[in-house]
Amino acid sequence: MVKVSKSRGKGSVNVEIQGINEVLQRLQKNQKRIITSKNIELVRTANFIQNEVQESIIGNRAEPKSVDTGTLGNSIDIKLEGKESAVIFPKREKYKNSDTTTEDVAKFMEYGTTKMKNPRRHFGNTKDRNEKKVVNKFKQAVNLAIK
Amino acid sequence: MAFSSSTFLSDIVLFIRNDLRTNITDPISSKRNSREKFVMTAYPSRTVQYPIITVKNVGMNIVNRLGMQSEGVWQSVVIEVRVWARNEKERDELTQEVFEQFRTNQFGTGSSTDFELHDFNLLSAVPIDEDGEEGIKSRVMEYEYKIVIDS
Repeated sequence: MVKVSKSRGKGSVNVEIQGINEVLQRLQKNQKRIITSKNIELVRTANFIQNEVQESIIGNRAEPKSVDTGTLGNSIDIKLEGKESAVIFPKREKYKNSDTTTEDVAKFMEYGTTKMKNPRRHFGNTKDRNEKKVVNKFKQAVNLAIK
Repeated sequence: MAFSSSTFLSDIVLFIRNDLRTNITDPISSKRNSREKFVMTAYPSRTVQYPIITVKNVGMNIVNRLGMQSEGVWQSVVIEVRVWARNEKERDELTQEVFEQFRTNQFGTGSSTDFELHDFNLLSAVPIDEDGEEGIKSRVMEYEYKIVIDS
């Protein structure tokens, strides 16, 4: 609140701003709320994207699906890197009776090979489908935190 | 504008293909079948002689609209350039050549900026090695450019 009053001196005005401490307290409280909310949303979003990649692999999205994909689908994991990012990746697991790993298969599926000319792009398609949704989720989380 | 707003995706892919065709040396140019190309715009459907380079568009999205009452957009376009080689050494050499060509051809006449492709950025470069000595070694590079579509 700004209170303006005439001063006793000649040709001058006193301006008194009230409630600065309350505003600072509110901002500090909001900052804590926003950080907590952002951390929670990061984990939620990582889970959401993990689930979307798995759905893409098993064919529940309108895009190319992979065949015989239990091992690859189950290997999709989350790694939180610091407080700002989460990585969704295929955890390295060997297929039965083979030296091939889920990491290799994920790359082959994502980009194709000389023998597989139509890549499935499970990660790329998931990113394209959900990029704007993720941004909106974070915006909503911040808005809710400061309400 | 160097590309047409109705055909901008194919125009950009062709610009990049031609840039690479002109400036990257085919390691087997003397042996290559005259019907085959070293740089192409799709993964080969028939048997080819490696190494080859493929150029494809793999994504785009709107970064910003150019104003409330404007139909123009500031847009991002992602181009995949994939080097398919006979061994790791050849793969890495061609990868470097492609990157250097794009990096050093950003400004001036005939450059990417001259063609209205801005904000050159390499998003990723993932090696995809097929098994065995005969397996083709490739690297998938994703380049991002920003363009303005406003007409």
